[in-house]
Amino acid sequence: MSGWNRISFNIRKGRASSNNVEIDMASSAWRSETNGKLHARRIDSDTDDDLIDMTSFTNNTGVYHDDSEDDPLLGNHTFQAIATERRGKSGTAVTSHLLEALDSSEAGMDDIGTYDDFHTIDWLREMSRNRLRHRQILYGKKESFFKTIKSLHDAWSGWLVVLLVGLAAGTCAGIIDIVTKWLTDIKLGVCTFAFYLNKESCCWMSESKNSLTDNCTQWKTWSEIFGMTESNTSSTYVLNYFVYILMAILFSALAALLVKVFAPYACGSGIPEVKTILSGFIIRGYLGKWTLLIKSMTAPLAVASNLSLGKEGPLVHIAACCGNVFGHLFPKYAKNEAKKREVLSAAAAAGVSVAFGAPVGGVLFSLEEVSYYFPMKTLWRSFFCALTAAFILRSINPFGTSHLVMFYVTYNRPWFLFELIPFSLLGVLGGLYGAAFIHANLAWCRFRKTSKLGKIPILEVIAVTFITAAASYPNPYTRIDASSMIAGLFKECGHVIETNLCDYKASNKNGSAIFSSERDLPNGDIGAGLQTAVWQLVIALILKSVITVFTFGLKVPTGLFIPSMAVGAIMGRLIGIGIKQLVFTYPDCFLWKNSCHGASSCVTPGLYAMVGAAATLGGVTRMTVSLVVIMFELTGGLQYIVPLMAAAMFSKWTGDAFGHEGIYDGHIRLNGYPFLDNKEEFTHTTLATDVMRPRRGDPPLRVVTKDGMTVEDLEMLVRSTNYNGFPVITSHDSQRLVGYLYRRDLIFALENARLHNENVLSNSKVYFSLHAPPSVSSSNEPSPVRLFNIVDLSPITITDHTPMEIVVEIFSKLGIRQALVTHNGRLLGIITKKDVLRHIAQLNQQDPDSIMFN
Amino acid sequence: MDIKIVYLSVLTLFAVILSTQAVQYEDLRCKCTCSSYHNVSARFKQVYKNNTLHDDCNCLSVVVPRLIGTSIKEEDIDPYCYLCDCKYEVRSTKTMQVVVYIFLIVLGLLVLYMGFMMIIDPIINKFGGKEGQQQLLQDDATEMSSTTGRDTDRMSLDGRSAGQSVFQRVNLVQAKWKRQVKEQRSSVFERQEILH
Repeated sequence: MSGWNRISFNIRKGRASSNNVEIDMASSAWRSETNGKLHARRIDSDTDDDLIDMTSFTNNTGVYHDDSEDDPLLGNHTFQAIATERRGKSGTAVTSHLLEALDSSEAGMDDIGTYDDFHTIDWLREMSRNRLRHRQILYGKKESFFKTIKSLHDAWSGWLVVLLVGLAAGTCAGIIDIVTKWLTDIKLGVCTFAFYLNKESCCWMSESKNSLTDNCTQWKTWSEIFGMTESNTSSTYVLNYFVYILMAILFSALAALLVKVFAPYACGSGIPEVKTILSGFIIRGYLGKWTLLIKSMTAPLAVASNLSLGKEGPLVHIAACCGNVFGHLFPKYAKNEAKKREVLSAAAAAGVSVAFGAPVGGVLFSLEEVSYYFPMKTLWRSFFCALTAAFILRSINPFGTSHLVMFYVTYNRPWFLFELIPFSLLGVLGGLYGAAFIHANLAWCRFRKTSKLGKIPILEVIAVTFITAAASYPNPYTRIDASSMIAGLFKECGHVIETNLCDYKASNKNGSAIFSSERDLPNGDIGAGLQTAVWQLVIALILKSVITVFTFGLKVPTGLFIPSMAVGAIMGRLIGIGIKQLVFTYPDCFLWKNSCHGASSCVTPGLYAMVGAAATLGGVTRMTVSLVVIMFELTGGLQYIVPLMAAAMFSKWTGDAFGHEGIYDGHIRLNGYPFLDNKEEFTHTTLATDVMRPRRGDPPLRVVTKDGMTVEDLEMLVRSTNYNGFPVITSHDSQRLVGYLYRRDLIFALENARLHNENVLSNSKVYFSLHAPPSVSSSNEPSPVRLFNIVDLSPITITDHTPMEIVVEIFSKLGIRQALVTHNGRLLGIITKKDVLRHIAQLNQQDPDSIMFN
Repeated sequence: MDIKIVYLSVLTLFAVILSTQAVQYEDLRCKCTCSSYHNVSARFKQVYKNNTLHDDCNCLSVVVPRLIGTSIKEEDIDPYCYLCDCKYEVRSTKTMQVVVYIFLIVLGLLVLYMGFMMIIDPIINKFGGKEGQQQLLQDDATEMSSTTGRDTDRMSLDGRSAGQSVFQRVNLVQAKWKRQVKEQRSSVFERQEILH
């Protein structure tokens, strides 16, 4: 993919003159309008929405004024000159009439950018703009000391911004972790001397002797608070149950309300959207300050309400919001959508880094799962960002265990070769679960989208919470939050029997000597506690796997990592317990006879839980490498890489057999985001001529001729169409291609020409060529306009016989927005990204109109 | 200018983190989980906790002194300690306190503001009747002029202090934000185009 750089390096050679810079930069001041008018326009827009949608601008030149102090490129002189002139003439009809043809609408400091909401960016164009900006800084560097400082600042701002993003992401994660733990515990009781402490911290120094539970007097359950002193009666149980459900509903309702009132974009996992945004789509406000605040506030509430969801996916979104917010402080990133996405990639890495305490896994996640354009520079910055975030989270130390996640485990038992069979089995089961979950969840989301259920989001959240809480409380494994449950399942059984899960009947060889070194670890028959645990786990497995289908997609922040891992961990632990019994019952089987000597156990059910978690997570998200690295960073043991790899691989194979897309891709398709997957292969045999516009029978392509058109013609063209750009040809007879003209540039250039030269009238000729007749000085004759500068002389062109395979490759690898189709050098038509997406959807037997956006 | 604020806030952030990291004595613990001495096969566990330093966090210095005086036999100490898991842990109650307080304050503010927007605003609009609507229209008008003529706005930013009161400006920003949220809400909840 680094091929972009090389190609786009040459793309705008013709535009490097200083005059061009002025126009280019000034045109960036044309503000694209916000989403306000977009939908209205789409609904009543005419039938030819096929090409590129209308972009509209309003003259907000001044908005950039204070930014320009930081940006060497946006010289104040240019701007103020333009601004002044425009203001001076604002009353005259000449100035405003072309602009009035466009929607002028609100735009403010937050909407900096040059694309409309729900539009796709042109990566090549953004990259070349950045290169131009960079060149300007290099030229200016020698002029003065101040400029040198500025260029230095510009050079290191890339590292500075990822440092800030890392700091912010780590802090957010720390706060969310602490609050989540506290809110989760507050459902069960409260700390009497300091209400802000969670249960673990409340009982920090209380010891326990000869009892299964910590007898911690400071921590009071709700029934004790309400004055019911006698414990373990049915009335206390009912009261605690009631408070538990009530609190869960309160938390989830609050979360849903906050999301609805303040930041609707804060709902859901966020990863499908972040993925789409990173591929070059614009969703304004999706990574804004309010989304950041509300998502950070509601994610703990949603987790604490015991819904089957996690905060790990939302953390990626939160980190991406941090990336966007801090990116805005640096003009280098604020004004260039492609550069901004480099920061967002790094931020996504930081998000996973803090969610799982896995910095390397985070970088790989960003590379494998979310990022679209990931050059080496971004890799190093992601690495640094993930490192910073993990460091900050470690210094906050949210769990008091010096680990970044609750379910950090260390094993010191080996695994044996025969265990690869159950590990692979777990992989297959995980893949099956993943495929089933994806199908069920997508079907449910589609139902929600089309039925009345989608109209009552808050009621839906409350109902699901009620069902989840009511079903969860009786079972000790679902009553606690999923992270703690996973932590319990991952743990291996030590010397001390701490939970029911390790309740094996000890085979005491020499009964009297209690503390002799010959004493075996308990490894025999299943004890009563373990029996209880097994059926409780089975119930928890059914509950979790069913309810998660209905939970993912609720209008609260919903992550998918933790519930998937919980399902996998339960499954793995159960299978681990089963294998352990099998080995115990048939110690002479040839598979494990040599590995497991006699009765001494060689099966660690905790490891199975971890492998199972990896398998289901892999089945749902279809991650492989990053998943294994994340899991391996959770355990800190290199020797478990092979089991994890086996499980992830089997899970992916099984999952792919039942459907190619992971849950995130499924949601991208369900929502119709214009995501051109650069990992997918295009295998059909269609040609460019089948896809290009105009089709047979369509009106001919609207083009601009190199010379011979008047200002009025062009103004009519702009006003009567809503295409984003027009090809420039030599003449209508020869149809030979000159270049490509962006609508935005054209509007601005025409306006500018009218402003600067009184002699530019409606019948002035416009020349898009290097050689134009000199402008006349006599005031009566219309003066010609030379607009050679604004023509993109190197548009990507393909011939009509180019196979679509290659066209799709070009679109996905280069990130272009449109390509021109020629035949024998004559312009035939145009293919836009939307055309390509629709074509792919059509060939995959999907509704091409499901690609909703532009 | 913004950059300075960022540098400043980063410094403050570090200061806050470092200050909250100043660990109090009771924030250290060494937690040893052992089997019950007298009844090892029973499912009882003993948890011993001591605030000690990292080097001393082991069974011999935490658990054994507690057992002296009970009926522990000398030769049992080593095997018993073999079955103990000791973990050294540090926490910061100060951080937890600050974070939970901040969370509750922000949550409270948000809920108040939400209540204001959902209850008071409609009432004002209702009682304001036409007046309110006119006010709204006027707001829109001023905003239109302020966006289309943002250059004027911006140009006179330095000299302006009396032109537009802070309150009006806040109102303006709020109105704009409200419109954005409304747009988001309709695209997420009503038309259900994204995030489904």
